[in-house]
Amino acid sequence: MPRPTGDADFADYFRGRVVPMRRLAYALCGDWHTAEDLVQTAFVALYRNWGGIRPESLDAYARRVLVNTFLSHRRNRRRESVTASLPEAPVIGADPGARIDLGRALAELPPRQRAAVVLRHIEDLPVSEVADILGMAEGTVKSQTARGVEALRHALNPVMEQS
Amino acid sequence: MTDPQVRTALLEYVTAGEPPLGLTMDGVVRAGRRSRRIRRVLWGGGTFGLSAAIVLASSLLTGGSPVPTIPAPGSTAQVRAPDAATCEELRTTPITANATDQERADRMSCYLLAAVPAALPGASFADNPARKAPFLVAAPGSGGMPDGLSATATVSTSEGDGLVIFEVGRSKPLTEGEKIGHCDKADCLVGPHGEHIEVFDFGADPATGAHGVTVYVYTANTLVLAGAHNAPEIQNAAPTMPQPPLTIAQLITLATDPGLVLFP
Repeated sequence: MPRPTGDADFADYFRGRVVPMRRLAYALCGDWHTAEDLVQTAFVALYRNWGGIRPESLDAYARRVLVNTFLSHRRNRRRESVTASLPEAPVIGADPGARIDLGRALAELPPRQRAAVVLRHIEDLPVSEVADILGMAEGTVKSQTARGVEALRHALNPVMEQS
Repeated sequence: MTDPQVRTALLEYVTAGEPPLGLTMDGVVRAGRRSRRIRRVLWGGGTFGLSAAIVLASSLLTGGSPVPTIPAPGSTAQVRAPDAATCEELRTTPITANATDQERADRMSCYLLAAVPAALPGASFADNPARKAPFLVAAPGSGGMPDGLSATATVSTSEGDGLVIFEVGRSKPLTEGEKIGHCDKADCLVGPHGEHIEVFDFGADPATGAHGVTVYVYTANTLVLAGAHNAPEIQNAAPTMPQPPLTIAQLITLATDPGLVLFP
């Protein structure tokens, strides 16, 4: 498969991936503005190295930049406010209370654990790829994901039981 | 609550209440072009000599403080060119993890003494006066890398005098995260054997015309540095060549040769 070359290829890729990338970023950071910043950083890095990345590695590369940027962003922020990570837009549709609880529960997970949960359950990536992105052993990904999902379950169960 | 239910809840969380997209393709491309320009400006200050630039690049790559790069070996007695019989013997036997420093140096010298002149037909080569080693002969125990070896030469063509420099050292394979970090500073490519390649083009200094290019290639446990500069390694030497004597493509070809994988 030929390597992508020009802006037209980049535009096609951008159009196809920007929305799922922003959702992934939002799941990581819980804030749509920050999510767009993270996605822009990932796409700018992608653009800068466009032509040097194998076509089959584009998604993996973009995800890695996004997750690494998120983790760096978290480190640089020094502290995390749970309320700052809640969804800023009014939630419309079924059961907004469940989503708020889920957002709060996600925000309370350690950043790398949150990334593992999101990559496994939203991006549906195999354990091996999540391990590669996060620089963790596969066993660590499994245990971190299990702990994270358990915490989400715990947060959501009261809501689920009421509904 | 089952795993599929958690997944459904997560997907609903990221899709419900999703605001309109603020990012545009044009905005990202503008930011990308600006980023490329900034990088060229940062790396294009050709006022560095090649060695200074390599030191800077090395420190950025390793995240550590600048290290002295390719110091001359302590004694010329340490540095000798391998004879043809040695080269032929090494050519037909694969290197092992237990190779001695001298064997690695001989392998590097054999390769460079054959490949570099072949890449520069018509050029003549001379010892680099800044180093105590014959041209294109690898000196063990030199360079800024662990177990590093280095070789240089002054290159003369009809266009003028320039410099080529090669260094090989031990380096653990990069993680994907490290590659991404490095690629913020360099143009990254994948080599013909799947190697991770980083290209640093320092650009021509508008004031002096000095221009250096450096390529890093990571293969197995080996890091190869190949560089070229359009002036000899002499303090304040004015460039006489319009371009470095080897192109980036030639440097990549040389640096990705399996003959330089000295730490398998």
